[in-house]
Amino acid sequence: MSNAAAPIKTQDDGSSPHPFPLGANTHHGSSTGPQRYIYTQTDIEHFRHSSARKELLSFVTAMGQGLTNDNASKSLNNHPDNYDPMQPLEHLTPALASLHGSLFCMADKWMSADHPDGIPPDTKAKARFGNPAFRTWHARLVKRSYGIVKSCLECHINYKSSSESDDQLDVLRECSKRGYEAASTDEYSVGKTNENEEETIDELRAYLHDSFGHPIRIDYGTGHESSFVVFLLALCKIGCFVSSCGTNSGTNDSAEKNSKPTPSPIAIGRASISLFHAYLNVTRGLQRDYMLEPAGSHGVWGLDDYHCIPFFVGACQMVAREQWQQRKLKECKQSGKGTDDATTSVNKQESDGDVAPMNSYLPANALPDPKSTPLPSNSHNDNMEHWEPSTIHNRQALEAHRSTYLYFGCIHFIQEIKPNVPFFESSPMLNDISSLGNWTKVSSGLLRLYEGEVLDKLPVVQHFVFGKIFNADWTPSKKGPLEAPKWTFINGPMGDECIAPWAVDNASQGKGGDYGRESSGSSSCYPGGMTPTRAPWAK
Amino acid sequence: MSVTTAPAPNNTAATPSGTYNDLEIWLSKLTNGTPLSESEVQQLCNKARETLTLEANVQPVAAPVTVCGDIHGQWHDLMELYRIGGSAPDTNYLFMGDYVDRGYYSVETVSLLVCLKVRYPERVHVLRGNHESRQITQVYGFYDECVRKYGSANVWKMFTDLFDYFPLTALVENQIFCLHGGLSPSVDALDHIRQLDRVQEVPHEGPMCDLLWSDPDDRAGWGISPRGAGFTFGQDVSEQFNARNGLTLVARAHQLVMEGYNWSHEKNVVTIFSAPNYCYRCGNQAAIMEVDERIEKTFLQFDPAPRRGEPHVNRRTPDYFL
Repeated sequence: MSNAAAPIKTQDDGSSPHPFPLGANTHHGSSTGPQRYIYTQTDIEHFRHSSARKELLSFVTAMGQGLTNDNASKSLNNHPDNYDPMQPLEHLTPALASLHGSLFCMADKWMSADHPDGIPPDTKAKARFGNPAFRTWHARLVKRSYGIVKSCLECHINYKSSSESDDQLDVLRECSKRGYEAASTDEYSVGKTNENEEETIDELRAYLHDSFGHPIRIDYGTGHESSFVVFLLALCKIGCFVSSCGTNSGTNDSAEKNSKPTPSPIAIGRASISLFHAYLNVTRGLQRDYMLEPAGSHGVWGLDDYHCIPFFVGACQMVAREQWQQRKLKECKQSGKGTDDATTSVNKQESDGDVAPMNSYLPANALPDPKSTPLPSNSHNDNMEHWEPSTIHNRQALEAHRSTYLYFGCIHFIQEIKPNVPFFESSPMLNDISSLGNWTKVSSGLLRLYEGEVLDKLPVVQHFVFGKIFNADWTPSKKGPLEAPKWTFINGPMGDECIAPWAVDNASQGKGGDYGRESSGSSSCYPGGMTPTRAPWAK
Repeated sequence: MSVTTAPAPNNTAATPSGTYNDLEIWLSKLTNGTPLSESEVQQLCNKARETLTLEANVQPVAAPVTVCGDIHGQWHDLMELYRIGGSAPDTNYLFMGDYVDRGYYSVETVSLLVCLKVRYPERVHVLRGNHESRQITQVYGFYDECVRKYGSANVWKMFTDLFDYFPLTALVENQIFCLHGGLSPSVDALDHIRQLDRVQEVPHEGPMCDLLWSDPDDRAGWGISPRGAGFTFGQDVSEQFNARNGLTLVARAHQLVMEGYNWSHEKNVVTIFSAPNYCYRCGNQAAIMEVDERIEKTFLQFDPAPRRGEPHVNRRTPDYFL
């Protein structure tokens, strides 16, 4: 790191206690890193009643509804957006700014065929489906995840700034730059670590590795998306959602002085919008460039081929915007100003909209100076447009606001990659949802859908891994690896006792997420590779 | 491809004249993309069960015939398939399963295929795919679609009950063995398939499951399938199976292939996939395989059907949002 403009105070190493103490009572299992705990229906029952699921669901809820509670809307003084694509770091902490920088680097550098460091799709690959260059991409992730995570933690420990907000943004920019650099190199220079910290890093890495798709199956689905949320949850649990350098993250007042501060739902919500924009820039690039297969897709009958959470958080963002508008209208009335200009029709598109995120997104070290960048709130008319769930059918609105509003961004992406098909046909559920009366109904339904279709579905959550931070408190019903028949035909000369592997024992369907690794042939490089339909009862 | 004999409806024993009229009306509805009513589906399924009960687990099929792979509710593309391959019954067809799930028009697609089967039982053959199953359709969309389009699961139940009667495999001129998935370690001779009691939900294991779930693999021998059902089988297995049963080829579907068809195992196995731009995003071509009287094979590839005017669709609130 260099050219740090902000007055940065580095915490003393050594003398301070370990920054991420892990409660002894959360300790479980061996020290071999995070492991699977969900193999069977019995395990999923354990999961259903576990504190891990409760924590995850609370966190997801906070990601969205943190934006919509009363305090949140009161504190959104400047603009209704919660998120300004020109200031993506605004509501982050140093650790999260570092992560943001890393995600930006992944979207910016890792894929592009034009970039010298990019991993272009393999055009010669005889792929049945899914481009095997994704394996190279994922191998890079595994290689660089240490630096990415380490940079987050170092930023969390080391960066403090004065309470002046300009300095704070400088710090965040510096952290973002560090994250970007960590994701740019295989040779991350490692500072001092101790055993505890190494363990924490290993656990965080495991969640991060599962966040971008499966390198053998070359697929991506809501399980991977959830893994990213688990990664964020784990960062949250070790304190990374609370800024040591500012007040904008809003710690809970009730948090006791000496314990790890708990971030407020508002802080989680605001950070989530920014982080999910950055994350989606990566996953969309992967889905498009390497044609990742939609894991467990219901085809047109699911919500989306790949995602669920950004729809939920995005719907909450819309609710927050409405709340802000209502407050603004009230203020206008109270101050006696006319409200004529305060309500505009969505069809009167006059603004040039937001800045497109992918191409014009500036590297962390080139982010505009906040003093010279006017807040979007000066485009008053835009902010007061009334958007209903049915506004998703307004292409202009999608185009103009997709880089600010997650929900519009998601719909826009679907239409971009499925251009020649009517929306009702490619996305009947989203089309149905668009007829709901308000965004609150949309957001609460999406949260129920996330529970029902993701957290309660064995084919999805069986791939979750648990460690000490995201902790499973039951004993999984796992058995040893299973074998394929060794002879050609059961009733051929070799024998008579071949039994299909999952039939060995109903409780031992233990191949699970590791399948594909054992069956070395399950690659997509030949016609017997990637498989579109998986048996729901398979692990 | 031309067929010398015209269809002879009056010779078709299973379709007395009243039924024949119904079928003609339903066929014209379905070729226009209009779904049948619930009671019409009920009548259709009753007739179809009578027809399908008579078929064998290894249904003999005469050449010429055009062999097709997965459709997955892509009704517009099925219409394109008929434009490319010739309309039924002018062309004889053998479909190798996976009519439903994932696409938007599974009900229309499977209704049309079943209707054609009942109307032209000797000229249209429909095998069972792994998606023609109660459990799979509850996960991959057909159930949701039926509830969405009919307001209840009745039509889903009628069709999934009917799927139990679909033949598992077909044998073209005693040479080309056609099935949805692939081989099974429990089946080394076609007679083993003939002995199966197929009228049941697709089991999670065993020969009937494998035939609908397995995939060919580059590795020799049997492998654990990444799907969690069926197995992967190598070229040694295919060669041995074909040799033992006097076959020249195993034709199967079940896997997306970018060109629409794909030879493997040194032409012991061919994969055929007939849903172009699968799920609107995969960018793959579709293909069908024409087999003529001399058992010569010709592959016809096609792209997604061009789309024109779109129907008005009523929106309905999903349960999670009530």
